[in-house]
Amino acid sequence: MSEPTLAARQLEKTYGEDATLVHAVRHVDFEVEPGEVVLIMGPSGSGKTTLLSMLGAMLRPTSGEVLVNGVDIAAVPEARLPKLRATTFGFVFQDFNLLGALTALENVELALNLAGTSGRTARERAEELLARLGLAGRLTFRPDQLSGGEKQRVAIARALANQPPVILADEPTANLDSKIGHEIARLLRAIATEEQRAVVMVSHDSRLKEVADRVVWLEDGVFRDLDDMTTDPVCGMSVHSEGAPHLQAEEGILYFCSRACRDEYAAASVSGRPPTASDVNIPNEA
Amino acid sequence: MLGRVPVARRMMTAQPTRLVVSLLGVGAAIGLVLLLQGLWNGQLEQITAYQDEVGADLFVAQPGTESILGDRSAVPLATLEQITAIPGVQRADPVHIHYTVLDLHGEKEFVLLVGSDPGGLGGPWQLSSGRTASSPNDAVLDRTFADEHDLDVGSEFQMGGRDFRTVGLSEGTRSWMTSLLFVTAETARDMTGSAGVATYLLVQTDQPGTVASEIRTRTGLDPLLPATLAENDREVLAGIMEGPVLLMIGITFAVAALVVALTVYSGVVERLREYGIVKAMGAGSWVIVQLVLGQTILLAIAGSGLGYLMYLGGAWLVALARPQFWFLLEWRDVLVLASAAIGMALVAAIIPARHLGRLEPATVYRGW
Amino acid sequence: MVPVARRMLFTDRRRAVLGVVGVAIALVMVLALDGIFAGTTRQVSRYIDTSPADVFVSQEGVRTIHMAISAIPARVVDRVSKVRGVAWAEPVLFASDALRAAAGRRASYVIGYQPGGRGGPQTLVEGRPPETGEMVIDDSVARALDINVGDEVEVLGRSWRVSGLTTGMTSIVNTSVYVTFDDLAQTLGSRDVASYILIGTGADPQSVADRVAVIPGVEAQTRPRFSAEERTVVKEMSTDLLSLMSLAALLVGLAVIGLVLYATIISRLRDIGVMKAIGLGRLGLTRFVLAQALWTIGTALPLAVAVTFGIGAVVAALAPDIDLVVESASLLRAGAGAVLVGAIGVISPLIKVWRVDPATVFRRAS
Repeated sequence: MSEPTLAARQLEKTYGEDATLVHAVRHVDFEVEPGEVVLIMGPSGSGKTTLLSMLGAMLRPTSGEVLVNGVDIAAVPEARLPKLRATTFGFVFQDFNLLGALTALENVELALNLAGTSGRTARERAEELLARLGLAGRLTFRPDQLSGGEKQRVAIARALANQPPVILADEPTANLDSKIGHEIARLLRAIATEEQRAVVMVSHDSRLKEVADRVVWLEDGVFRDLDDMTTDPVCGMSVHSEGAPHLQAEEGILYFCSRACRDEYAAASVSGRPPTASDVNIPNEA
Repeated sequence: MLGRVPVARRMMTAQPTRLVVSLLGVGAAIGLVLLLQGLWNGQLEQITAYQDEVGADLFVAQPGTESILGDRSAVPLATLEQITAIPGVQRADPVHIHYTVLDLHGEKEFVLLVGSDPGGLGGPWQLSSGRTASSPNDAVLDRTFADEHDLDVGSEFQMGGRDFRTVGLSEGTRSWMTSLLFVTAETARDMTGSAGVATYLLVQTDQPGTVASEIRTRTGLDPLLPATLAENDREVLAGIMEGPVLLMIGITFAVAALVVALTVYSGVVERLREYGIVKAMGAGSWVIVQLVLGQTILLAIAGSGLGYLMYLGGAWLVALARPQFWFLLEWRDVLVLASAAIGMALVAAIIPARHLGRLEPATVYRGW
Repeated sequence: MVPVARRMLFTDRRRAVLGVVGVAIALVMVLALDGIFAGTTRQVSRYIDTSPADVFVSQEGVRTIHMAISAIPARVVDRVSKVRGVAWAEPVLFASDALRAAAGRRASYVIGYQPGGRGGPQTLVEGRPPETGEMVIDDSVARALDINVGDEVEVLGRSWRVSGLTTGMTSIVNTSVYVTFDDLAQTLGSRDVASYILIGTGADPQSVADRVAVIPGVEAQTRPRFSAEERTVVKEMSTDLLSLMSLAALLVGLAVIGLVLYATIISRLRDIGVMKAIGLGRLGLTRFVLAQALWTIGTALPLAVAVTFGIGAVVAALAPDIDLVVESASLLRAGAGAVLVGAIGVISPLIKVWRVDPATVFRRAS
């Protein structure tokens, strides 16, 4: 087994004090190896974004370590963090977070500038990256002139600009339709495999499971055992059995994401046919 | 920076409406500073038009006289002969300068009455129409003053209980305080009851230095160079008006700098998320501070340019409505004011820049 | 979970504060410049305004002190005092000249008044009233020209000893100095002549003025009238410049207010689009933005007045010759102007919203 590219040790983040104390992330241990794609799932408010921010040196943990190739970035002084962010991590966000004032090319070029590469070298590298992601014809377009999938590909090009060992993606497919979302997921998978980068994705989207090497479940700031995971038969969401609304059915105990789904299931089974995800309108949680 | 993405410039130009609003605000504020400064410079310049333009090389005054505005000079006409006799004196003429009231359709107008000998020194230096005053009831009015009161060559009016007829209109003979009104020296002496006395004796000579000392020795009077007299008059005016005027300009200036800073600050607030993105991409605080300062400088420079155009427009409007107000703004003034405004704006921009310096990159996750 | 609602409220509050600060800055400029103009103009008629006289009598055709020469035969004083309603009448003699001291000079009104009479300085901050050969001057000029009680100054071609200091009698145009009537008469070589007659009335000043004006060769004006005439004359000759400057500041200030409020609305166009999408009509949206403008101006105005008073206090401490007076008329003008341009500023961006399909606001640029 190779050395993990990214590792979290007893990572913890709390907000507030005393009565208002909130544990966003508690004692998380976690490793990602080169070329590995890890998908962190969990309900809203489970601490996914907080965890990802800490992994990416955007947020200081209350305690614990974040090791990148063996170096604890949680202990790096504030002044060295920007350089670290620029060269160690590539971020991909749910709402793309491109700079609206810059063209696609400039968005990528800026990332290179910030890491110390400028001039023609930066421009050529940015052009090459965008071309590789199929955006050669969109170089001078501004984000508002691009489609969602194109925006996310620009964001991925930007994340790859400085050849970081770690790519962190926060709900990378949430704002995309399923076809484009699938493409983006496969792109991230390919990047991990071909370039041996560690990719960590945070998402609600269980379709991302198919590209992931590993799926972990985060709830209330702690990782849960995936063996306790089941699928809500109504909406199709992944549900952790502990404390979830459930009912006893013929096929055993069923767990639901919410009481609404449970009640709907109960009502439908009385009328004859239990509903499934295919005939329920799934609200897209952002 | 060469070869780098011009983020500051891109951020500014990405939202044209916002940019236009910002530029208009900054331009108006800086334009106002330039307008007030130009107005004040113009008044200082204009107040000495008579000294500068009348064509005399020396103003011979009563000893102790320092300015036209602040002193009353009286010199005996009898000394005129002595002065004319001095070698190097090309000509010497008496001039009478007094404030007086003009009664125009029930409205009182203060004018500076200038009495000079027909054909002599001291009369209007540029006529736009008509001729100079030669007979006792002749008067030459400033053209803009005459326009304002519907007077023209041939118009009649009353002054000090006497009837006058306008025989000419002069140019550049009006200050914002008063307008000059030219009559013959004799008329002026009659009106003021100052027989045998003139306010100044104007001397034309190629050697002002030697002639002045000769006049001083022979007559005991005080010959003043027009430039000295002008400088003293500017000082008198400055002594009167400088306090409130400079306070006004100072307040306007501070407001202009605040407007620039506020514009930059609200731009920062609007783009907080974008700055968060740049930070998440690995920009250090200094890069962010540079971005803010860069935008401040661009805004201040473009705003100053627009402000100068607004100043020209404002000056043009004032010239239409109130021609007695002059404007004078040299490039040096514009540069000094603009760079001071930019400097102050930079100082003021430190607050938002510091604010952003401390911004957490995790801001990208927040819904603003 | 990121507290979106609170963040938005916080951002909105910050935007609101920015709007208020922007409007307040512009209002401070307008009020301060107007205040300097008003203060300067008021100073000019200080001698008249602080006088206990209700009516001022001058030579016929003369309506001011500034730039005027008034001469009334001394015997008119007796005639005036016999007019019904006149409680007292006192002559003052007036001349204008420069006050010269070692450190500089100042244009001055020289006022000759009867010892113990009402035409003299209303307050003495130091020393005593003048006797023959003596003069009372204003404390701010004394400070500026480094003159102390007991020093000699030169006015009207002779020297006077400073016997005391009064206060508040210096304007940008000149400073008032006080000597005895006889002393000034002798210096001017005038005999049996007064420049003005001050009248105290027990009754309505206007009717007393009307009765006095019947006396041939004189003009009688009530104090407010005389004061207004004086200010008008000085305005034409001196403070007109300040008036123009303060007018320019008013226009620019209002323009800035309009722009600030316009900017607050364009930065919230998305929210406004959302409000339109959820069913708020034109009237509702207009009322919403107008309320925002009024709220902003309503908060900014008291703030601006407070800051302007603060500037006034600083100016009073640093430059006692300059007065900054916030008049209610000026406040009203600035406030009404701000509301007007503010309304234009907030309603004009709405026109864009009328035309736009509400759904487009949900699109995000980046």
